[in-house]
Amino acid sequence: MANSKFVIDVNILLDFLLGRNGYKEASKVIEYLVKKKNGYISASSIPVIYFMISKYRKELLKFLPKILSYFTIWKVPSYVDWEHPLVQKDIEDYLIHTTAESLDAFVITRDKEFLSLSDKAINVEDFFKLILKENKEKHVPFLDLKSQNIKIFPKVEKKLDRIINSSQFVCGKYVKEFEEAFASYLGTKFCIGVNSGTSALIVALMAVGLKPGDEVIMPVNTFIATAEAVSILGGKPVFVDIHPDYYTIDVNQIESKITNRTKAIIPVHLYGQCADMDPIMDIARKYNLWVIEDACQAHGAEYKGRKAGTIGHIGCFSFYPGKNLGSWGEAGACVTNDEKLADRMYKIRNHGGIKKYQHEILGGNFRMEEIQGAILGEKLYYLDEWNEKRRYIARLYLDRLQDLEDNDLLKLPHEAPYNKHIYHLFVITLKRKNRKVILSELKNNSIDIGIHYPTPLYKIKIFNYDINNEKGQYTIAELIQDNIISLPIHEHIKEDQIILIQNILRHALG
Amino acid sequence: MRIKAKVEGDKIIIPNSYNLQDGEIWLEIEILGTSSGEHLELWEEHLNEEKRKEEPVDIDTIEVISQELGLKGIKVEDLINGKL
Repeated sequence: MANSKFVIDVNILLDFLLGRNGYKEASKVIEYLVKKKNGYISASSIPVIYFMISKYRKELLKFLPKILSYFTIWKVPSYVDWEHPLVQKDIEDYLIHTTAESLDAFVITRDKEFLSLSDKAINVEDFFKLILKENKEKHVPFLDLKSQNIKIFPKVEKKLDRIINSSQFVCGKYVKEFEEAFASYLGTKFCIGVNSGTSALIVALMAVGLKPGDEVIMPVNTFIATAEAVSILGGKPVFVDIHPDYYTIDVNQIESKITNRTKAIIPVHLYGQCADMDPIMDIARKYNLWVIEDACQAHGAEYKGRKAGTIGHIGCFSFYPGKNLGSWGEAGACVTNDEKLADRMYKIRNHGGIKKYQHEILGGNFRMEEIQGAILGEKLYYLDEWNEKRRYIARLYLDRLQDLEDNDLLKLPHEAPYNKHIYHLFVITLKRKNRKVILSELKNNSIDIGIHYPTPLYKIKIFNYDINNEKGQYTIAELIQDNIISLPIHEHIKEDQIILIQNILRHALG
Repeated sequence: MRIKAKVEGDKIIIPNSYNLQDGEIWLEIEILGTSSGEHLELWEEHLNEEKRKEEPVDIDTIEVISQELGLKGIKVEDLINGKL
């Protein structure tokens, strides 16, 4: 469902607050905006709203901050188009117009001049027609990053101003603050901010001293970055099949893959739930191996009450925009409780040294940008709330699709008893129907989906595996490869959208 | 070179005896006889003027759509008391 944003013109808000002519329609406009949380007020309108309330409804003045808190106060951009016709006619209306422009929003107004001179302005009647149309639209996006990022923007704005003013763009105050906050959130001693999840894996592997020819064990069904990081350093990814219920690494098959070249194990906490870490740590102790957790999809997930990323020697995170904790670009982090490893990683991310031009060990440029530290620091406050919302959405899916699993038509995601799943992805596996048919049905109904992942890693040519020799080793991964579908899940998805998806799936599978 | 201009009502009056070129002058605007309170009063007057010229709305259409969407209208007190 499309969800337009609306900036409200001063007079409509005042009709509501002062009970003036037009109150009835204004109260419905405001009811909708408040309930949908998509109402905005231009910062330029605040002085006159305060003035009018203090003049005509003084008793409301103390409640004004609360009343305005139902809306988002949005900035007035500094770019002014002096040639715009509204500037010539009415500068206040222009400032509201440009606020809406920066938000990609509409302005709801009854001002004839505003309506005739702004392509952002719509009248009250058209507002109602538009929201009715949007309520009937059925598109369900896979992700809704725009809503999330607009929500946090007013909180980040001040930090962005400071970054510009200090012009310290890399590993400054906000990266340090985020590193400390994320380490504290996870309950780990050290957090080293880097510039992507892939970089986090490379830095971690460099820190444990991976040499060319060393082998690293990992699950066969994961994103390519896990294996890529090993190969970039000259190591060899060694793949293991996945658990039939949880799709994380099958711990019972790890030991059979260990050789005298094995250096580390990378369990991937796939889709938002942890691999079974206790047996992995036992194996690592037995064979003296490093354990690097790939927690790139598991921000805030828990294994037996411990946060993902804090159980092995190093935990690696990605903050790619679509992650449960996502930046505004590329970012990642390594976490550890080991001071020596932390010291190495601080150096590796910064050309091998802490201080400028002191290159003690081999490193590279893996530093986190200041803007990402600022964004992530703000988003971290919401991570638990957003994860809980995802768990709630997952519960809705599970309840509504349970009978389809009972009838052996599909397999739902299963949360291991030792885990707290944070549902970065909600992956179902079809058991009878051809995936192409189901995908086409979902697509025809404007439901966005994903596939995670379409190809088991051993089949990707760059890893030089002899596919014929490997056949039969990854039965579970092979079985699900052509049948998995990731359904939309994010904190803005609505219950009626879940019902819609359920109905389409039910119809397609029937 | 600094130039003084006068603001009268909604007009900025710049003396025309100078040959102005980009980058060569500062324009200093002196607002004469208008305090910020008076400015807001003017703004109110402007808002009232806009209100007088408002576009009429089709009440019936709004009524039908709001019924379909379940919108009954809210009061200021609902926002203050968080009753939504």
